[in-house]
Amino acid sequence: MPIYTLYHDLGSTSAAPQAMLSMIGAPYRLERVPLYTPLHRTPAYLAVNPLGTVPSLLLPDGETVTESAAILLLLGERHPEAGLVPVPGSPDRPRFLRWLTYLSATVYPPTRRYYHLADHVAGAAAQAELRRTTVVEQTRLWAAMEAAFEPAPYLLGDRPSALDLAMAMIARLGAPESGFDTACPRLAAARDAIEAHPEVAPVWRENFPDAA
Amino acid sequence: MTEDRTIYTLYHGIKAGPAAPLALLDLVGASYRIVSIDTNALDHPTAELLAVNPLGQIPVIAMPGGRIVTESAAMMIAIAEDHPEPNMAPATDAPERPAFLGWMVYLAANVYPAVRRYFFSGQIAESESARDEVRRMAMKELQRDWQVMEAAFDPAPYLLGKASTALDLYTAMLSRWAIDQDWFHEACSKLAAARVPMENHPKVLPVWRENFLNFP
Repeated sequence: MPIYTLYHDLGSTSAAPQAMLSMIGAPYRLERVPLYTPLHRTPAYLAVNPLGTVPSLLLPDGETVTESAAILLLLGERHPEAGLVPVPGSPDRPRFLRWLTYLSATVYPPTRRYYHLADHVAGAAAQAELRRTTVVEQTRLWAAMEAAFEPAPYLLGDRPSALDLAMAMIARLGAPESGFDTACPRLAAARDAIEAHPEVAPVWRENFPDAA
Repeated sequence: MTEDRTIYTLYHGIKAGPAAPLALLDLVGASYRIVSIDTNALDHPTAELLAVNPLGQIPVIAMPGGRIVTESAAMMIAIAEDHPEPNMAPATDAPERPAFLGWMVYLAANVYPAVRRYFFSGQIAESESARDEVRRMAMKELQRDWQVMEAAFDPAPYLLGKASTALDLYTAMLSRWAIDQDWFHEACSKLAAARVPMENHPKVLPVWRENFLNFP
């Protein structure tokens, strides 16, 4: 049976694609590319992903997809029977695309910045200020998403979707002091629901061992 | 204004607005109306804009039927999928589909955030020296992001082959923002060549002229 290869690292944005592969029941193997090591810059890995980031997904036909959100979209299209991504033309598709992109393009940048302050400014004082504005931005962005959802228990209703995986993953990567659990009780409940899924829980335990 | 739910409603900036979703609507022949937003007043968004996007940012689109989509990449994929002819997004079973999705998200999640940090450094840094440094580092990252993309493509003549896609429009729009055009032509000559036929498409050209002050 054709097999996927997921280039990943623990506690990174490969967690959602990995959990989705498990939920689909697709055969896959993992290739670990530890973050912040020269392994990201080897010619072999740069041929897979020219930016040198994880995740990347090698498809059974030899094509590669990069970017966590794009991998989730593509897996949804390749495995419509799993029902984890609204297919093109379905009523939930626009909302799904909107919030998946929001998570990747709007929430994730300050989530990542928090851990890489020195990539933006030098000096302890400037970095402390950047940390503060970055936390404020995260809090504001999560609040806007909280206001847009009434999970029951999942974001799109009674069935889990790849949007739950992406949201839970980026929430787990967020700054602790952004107060996600208190400020976003509905999203936190949806996060807890997807994290309890039997195919997701083992992936999450491995990726986010500090999560409750 | 009466609400017509059979057409798209695009919340768009007057001059210097996000041109790619607007040009895509023209390319697919969609019916739409525009709600003009004063981009100089986005620090104080109107109630009308806040009602559709609590972040007070543009672009925002209301799809036929009323569903709201923010995020340029998301709305471009949604619009393209609604119009199989002309096909501005490779079909889900097309060999170009993985690259299409991957690079649309790449632009949205890497290039666009760097552009934003460059333009809005004051939102994350207070002192003038910190703002300058945020801008300098954002530009460095933006140049690297474009060079990575340049190395990954062999346009023929469009990014994904003979047919133009929403990826061409999105790339062309983002490459008109923040980055020095001489640098872009020099360092990303393949990407610069690929945007020529897209930007000169008769339905795209007027939108580009209206929205890019630096468009030749």
